[in-house]
Amino acid sequence: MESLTLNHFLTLSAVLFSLGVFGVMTRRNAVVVLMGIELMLNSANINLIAFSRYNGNMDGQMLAIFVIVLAAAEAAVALAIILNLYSNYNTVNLDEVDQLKE
Amino acid sequence: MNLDALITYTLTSTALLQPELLVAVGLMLILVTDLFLKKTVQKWISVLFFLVMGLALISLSRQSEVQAQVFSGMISIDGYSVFFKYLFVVSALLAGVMSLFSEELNQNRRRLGEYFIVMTGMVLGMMLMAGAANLLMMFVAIELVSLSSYILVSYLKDDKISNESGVKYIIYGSFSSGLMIYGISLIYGITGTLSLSEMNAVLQNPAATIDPVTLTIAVLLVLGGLGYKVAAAPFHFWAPDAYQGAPTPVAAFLSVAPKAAGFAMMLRFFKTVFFGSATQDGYVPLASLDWVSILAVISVLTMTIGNVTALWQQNVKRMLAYSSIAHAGYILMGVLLLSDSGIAAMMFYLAYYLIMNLGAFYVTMLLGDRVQSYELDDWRGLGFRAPVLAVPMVIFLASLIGIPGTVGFTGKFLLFVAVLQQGSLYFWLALIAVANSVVSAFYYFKVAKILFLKKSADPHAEPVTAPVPAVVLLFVFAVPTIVLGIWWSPLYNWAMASVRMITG
Amino acid sequence: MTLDLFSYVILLPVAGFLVNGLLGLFNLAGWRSEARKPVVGWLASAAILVPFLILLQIFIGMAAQDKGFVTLYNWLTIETLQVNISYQVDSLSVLMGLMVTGIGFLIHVYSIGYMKHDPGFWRFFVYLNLFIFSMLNLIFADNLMLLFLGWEGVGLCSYLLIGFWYQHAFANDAAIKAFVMNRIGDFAFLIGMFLLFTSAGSLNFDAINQSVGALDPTTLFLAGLFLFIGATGKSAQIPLYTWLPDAMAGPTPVSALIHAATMVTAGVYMVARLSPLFSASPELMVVIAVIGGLTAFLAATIGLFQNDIKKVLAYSTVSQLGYMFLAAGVGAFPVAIFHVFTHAFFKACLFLGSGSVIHAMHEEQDIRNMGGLRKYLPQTYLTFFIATLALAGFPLTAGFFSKDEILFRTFASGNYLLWGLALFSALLTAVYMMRLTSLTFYGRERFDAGHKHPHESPALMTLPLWVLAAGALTVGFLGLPGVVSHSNWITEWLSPAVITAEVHATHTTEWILIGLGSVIALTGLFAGWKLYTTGLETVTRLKSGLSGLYNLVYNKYFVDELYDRLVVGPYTRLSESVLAKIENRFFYPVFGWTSSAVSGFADTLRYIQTGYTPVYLTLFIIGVIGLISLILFI
Repeated sequence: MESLTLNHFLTLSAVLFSLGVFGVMTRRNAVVVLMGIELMLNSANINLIAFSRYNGNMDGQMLAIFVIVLAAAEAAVALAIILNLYSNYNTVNLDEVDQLKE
Repeated sequence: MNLDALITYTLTSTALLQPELLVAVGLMLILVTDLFLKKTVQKWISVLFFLVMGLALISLSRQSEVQAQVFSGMISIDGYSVFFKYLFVVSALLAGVMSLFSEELNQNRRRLGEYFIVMTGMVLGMMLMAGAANLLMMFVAIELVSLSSYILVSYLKDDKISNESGVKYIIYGSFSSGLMIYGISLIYGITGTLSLSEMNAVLQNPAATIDPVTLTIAVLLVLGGLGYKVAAAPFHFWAPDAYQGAPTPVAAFLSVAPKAAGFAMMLRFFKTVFFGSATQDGYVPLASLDWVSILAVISVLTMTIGNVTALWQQNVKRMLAYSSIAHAGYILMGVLLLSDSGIAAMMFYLAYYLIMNLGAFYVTMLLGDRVQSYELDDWRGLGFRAPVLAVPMVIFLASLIGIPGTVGFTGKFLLFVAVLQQGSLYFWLALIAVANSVVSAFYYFKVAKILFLKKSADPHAEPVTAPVPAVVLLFVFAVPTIVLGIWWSPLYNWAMASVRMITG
Repeated sequence: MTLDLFSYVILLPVAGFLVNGLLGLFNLAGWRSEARKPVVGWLASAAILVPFLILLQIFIGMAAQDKGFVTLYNWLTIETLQVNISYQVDSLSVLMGLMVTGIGFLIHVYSIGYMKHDPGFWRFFVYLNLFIFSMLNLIFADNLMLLFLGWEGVGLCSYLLIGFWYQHAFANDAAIKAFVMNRIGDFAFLIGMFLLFTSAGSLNFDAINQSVGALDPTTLFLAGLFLFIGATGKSAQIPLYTWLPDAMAGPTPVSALIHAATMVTAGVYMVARLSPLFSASPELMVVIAVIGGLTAFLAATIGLFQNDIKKVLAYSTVSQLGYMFLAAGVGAFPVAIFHVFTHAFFKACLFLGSGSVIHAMHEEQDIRNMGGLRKYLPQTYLTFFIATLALAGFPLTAGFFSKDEILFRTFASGNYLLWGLALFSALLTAVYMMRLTSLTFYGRERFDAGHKHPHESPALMTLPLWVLAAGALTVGFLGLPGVVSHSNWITEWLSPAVITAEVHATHTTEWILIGLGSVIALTGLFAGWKLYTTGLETVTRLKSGLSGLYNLVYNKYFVDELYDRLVVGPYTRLSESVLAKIENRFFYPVFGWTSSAVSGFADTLRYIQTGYTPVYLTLFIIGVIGLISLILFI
């Protein structure tokens, strides 16, 4: 059986990243958009860990841990704000909040 | 490294990083105090905030002579970062005082503790941004600032507009950090390090094979993240909405401090990573990629989009938001030159931009609170109803245009001279910038005209006044705007000296 | 030459500005009240009179080649570049300074009477003092940067004063028009300054003028051209002249001070200050001469058919500024300054006179509704008439000497076509000025005399008129033509500061030209008088449809008709069909297009900001991809 190479990880992460970006750009629901962003962050994590192994130092893994922590913090803040959005607008669809424009 | 040495090193690092630690400890202190303080006396939490900032200022003065890399090269302490840290602390102090006079915030007085906690966190994040010499530190710092800004922007919980702007801001910001971290992971992959100076060594090493396409994509993703922070086109879309929706003191603070932090970080990133030894008239670019042109394109786009869109605005806050985008474009000129005079001009610009833009937002806040509107139409003839507020506004506007005698002129002049000193190559850039400042005169002037040259809709409207302390603060902004325009060399010399102290 | 007191020349006007401004803005000590008005006015006037006296003292004690520098403040030092608040006192700047403060003082005094009933009295004097301060900076600056500061400052004051009566929509429109046109000019000026800075490495006049020989001719041409475009904005030349006639929406003393005597001549002054630079590029000189000549002609023709008393004078100003540039363009820089000097006297006098008329007629400005005012306003009439003669170039008046010198120098430089154009414009000048005088002061009253009661203005207003009229008669003797006297004082006085081209012409030629000029002026004046006094009555009688005295009327009518058919008709048609079209179809659209292009662009840009977050994110990605492709594929 063929062993896993760096390229396999990079491809996976690229696919995940693209899915994330695609989700962010096409979804209307703010929570789903957040999930897309999580995908993007995690694809970067896969990159970091794979590269860390490949480069032979721990920097990447360290950063990955920070990214996980920050992603959690971000999600917490974002969900709080989106919750507030729901109580103000009765919707979490991004295309229904457009008072600010031009 | 054995344990003893490690402990000693950590302690030394800690001692050198006093101002940052002070702010961090202050943050926790305010947090704890907030828990025990009665909700009715929340305003007093601000005293603690000012105390922390004041102490930070004092301890910063002791950091100014230090030249070191601490915590395994995570953070650089040098004159350059200290200059910026002063800016952050001073602007936090000013914005903090400003907040006390804000009607919007006073209506949410019971949660004022949160406000100052988050503000302190933001200051800490920005201080780390200015010193960050490692991609890890850069990312953590930028996220700390971003998270704090999201909360501040959507601080008015019941206000629909504030809420909307918060949602847009956080979605946009998280997306950009997603892109940025992906870019960072790629950079890490091809250079094998997260430290900026080691990256520079890798790039300088002729034996290393770096794929230029990957590098370009990776760096541009990082640039997107930085561009979002300074609101440079085409990463600026969040700014007008966020500024308009945010409480005015927050918008004011966002338009100056995180922007300065973003520039500080952007410059350190480019200068440390992509440029070799310094020569007399600049720095030698390493990779074969043309960063200068890319930044020039961004700069031109930013100032043009900012100025031209601002022409249309009827809402003063939104107009100021576009104006701050435009100013980011001018400042980028100083970044892309990567010459000592360019960087010094950029730092000078950021320093005084802080004063005049905070001032402009401050008057906007005072007038807006009193007229209950930020629409220009409702401001007709306000100049004669509130001369005490409107005259400083004209000073700020004049300075934003760059009218001689104000500091705005000096800053633009320094920037243009720095650009022109690089020779005719950049002549067109200077030209576009001047054309832009000509365009900008129209919308700034429009505000002055509305204030003074238009009749009020209601001829018997009451005079508008503000409490004396609020007016005193106004002069804290207005006086330096004039004085620095004439007596500017100390600030410039300080910026110049700081430039020479940038370490990797 | 002692310059101990010089700094007060600059500081006093700004002190006046600050005192009146702060006291007035906050209405401290009742500063805006009726009772304080004389205090405000005289304070502002004193802030101009004292600098005038100081300059006079400097002027008396100095020789032509004296040159002193006063540095108030070391402002900007960036490596090799130094920009100081530093003033250069030499023959040129002292002469201009005397003119500005002297005439400025007279107009201040006049304004105390003229603006007496205006609620914005204090504001008016604040702006005026600020204007004088900026103008003095412009004149005395020893570097382009400081000159530009003054340049911007006078532009700002001009804007504020045109829009002084902001209650009127037209005043606002005119102010904005002036602002826009001046911004275009300023932009060009800055480009020119940048070019000079990058090539000559300095902004000091002395350094620039000395480095002219070392500069690349193309750079020189471009730098000079852009500076000149800046000058066309400030000095209302083709193609940026249209703001000046509209600027008459401001109070009349402002028109006299800013839009006739001083600010609009700043462009000429700048060109003279950099005369070595401009004259080093022959192509540039041709451009200046042609633009000047054409403007002189175009504006004179338009002035012939205006009915607003101030508009006629405004077009006349544009035309006279054209003469000044013509003089500069043929290398006669001192003559250009000489004309600036003489023009300041008679044009200020004319404007103040028109102000007196407007005052007397209760804000009426249409000359078709005037006439016969001579007996109501004897002093105004007399001074106005003197100034008219001077402007028309009546022999031995101020305008005669300066204009003839310009015509002579144009002829001597070999530009016969321009000379012809200028000569014809001189004829038109005489005609339209006499038309103006005739329609205003001669003939019957075309208004309800029982109802209007025109009255002579108070002494506060007539006194400045007399001083200026005296100037209009005498200052010409400062520059006597070469055939009469060997020492042309003004040319010699200016020679250390301003260069001048060699003149190759015989005395006979000069005598002939002087004669020709006098004949032209006299012919024009006579024609204007004849046509618009007796001829006018005929027209009026015909219009009112009186049926008596058929033959006589017929004959007169025939003369009129002939004149109409041969001259006025074709000309009116020409001016309506061609000149107006040039203005409407070319100049306005060009500015229209520019502004609509900008606003269209802005329109597109603002719709990108849709307010939809997904769109923002998509644009973010597009931005990143765009930049990546830019760097990889270009």
